[in-house]
Amino acid sequence: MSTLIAIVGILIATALQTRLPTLWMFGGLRIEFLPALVAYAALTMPRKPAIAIALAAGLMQDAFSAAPFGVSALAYGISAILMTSLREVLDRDLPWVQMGAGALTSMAVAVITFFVIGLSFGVVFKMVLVASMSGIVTMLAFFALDYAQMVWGNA
Amino acid sequence: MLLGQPNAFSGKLRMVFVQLGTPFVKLGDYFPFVQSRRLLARQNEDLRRENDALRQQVRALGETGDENLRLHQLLSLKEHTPFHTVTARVTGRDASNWWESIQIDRGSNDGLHMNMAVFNADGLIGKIVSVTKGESRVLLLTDPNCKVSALLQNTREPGIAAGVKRSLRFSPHCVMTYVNRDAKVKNGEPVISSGFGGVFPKGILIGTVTGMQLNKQTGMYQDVEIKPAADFRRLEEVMVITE
Repeated sequence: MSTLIAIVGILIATALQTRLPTLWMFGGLRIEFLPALVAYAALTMPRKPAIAIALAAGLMQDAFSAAPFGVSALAYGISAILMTSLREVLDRDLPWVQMGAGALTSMAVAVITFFVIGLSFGVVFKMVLVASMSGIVTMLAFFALDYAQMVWGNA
Repeated sequence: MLLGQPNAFSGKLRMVFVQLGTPFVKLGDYFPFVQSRRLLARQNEDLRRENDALRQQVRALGETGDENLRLHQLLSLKEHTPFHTVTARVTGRDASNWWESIQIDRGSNDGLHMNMAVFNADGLIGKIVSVTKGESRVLLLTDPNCKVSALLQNTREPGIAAGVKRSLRFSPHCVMTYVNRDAKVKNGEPVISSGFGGVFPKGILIGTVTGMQLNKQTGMYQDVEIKPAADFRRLEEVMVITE
């Protein structure tokens, strides 16, 4: 994944997150795409570019949110560092590893938000639901991006 | 550090990211159009194309009519309101699941700045928390960090209204805290902004009372549950009070 593709990917993922409708039937959840991108980069790319993508994705998410600027960047950064460190023991082709990476990245934002802002414990259920949804999105993103890479090569 | 510090660096960096991402967010305006065109093309053969185009036009006119109605409501509100206001369109929701905010298509070029109150024909929406030249972010009343000095309209009891963080919310709602425990609050009573604090002018409808109970932690006050007057699930146009 080249730098240009990563930047475009972050912009499209952010646009989707802000424009797709809120799922009120699931308690007002919004589907997150940036954690999938961060997880894909962390399990595919070299350490430094993967962390850079995670930070850029976090800052972009914060720019389009009422969150304190830097909260998501910190969470995605820590998540990327953790995943790149564990890459040798993780088989990125396993669906449950992909889902776990996406869920962990999504959950990191909630946990950091919890520590920085002090949310109540009542959000734990929502946290699990958001993380599960991000895990599924991540698995689909791995399939789509791996397929794209197979078709178009290492652009 | 960047975390929430309102310094010049983080402000400028946020502005750079917003300006970089906004064109992509606005691209979303075109996707529903493209999708419906594709669907129509699949459903119909050549002979039915003209009919489909007409149907689409009718739909567009209906949408324009609805928009006209909403803007008319806003205009009539604007004529009757004592405030100077700027009308804005909602261009996006919050990118995160943990905050409640919207992005509007007006910014500092239109005279907007931080902490300006935002409302629509139904009631109070929230306040502006960040501004770029052409865009602003509005923290919604349903976010726990948006606190409004409120007044129960009939009993005249003051309190603080704010959003609630619950595990799952199937409809947005707020809670008014610090209400006198002896106050005789009734369901359906309107709640308005009190004007204290300087951000929200007095008299804007916040919502109606749907329930009340003594504060679980102290028992010294009542917590009054409010159903917001504005429909936060369908926000399209809003007004910002500039003066």
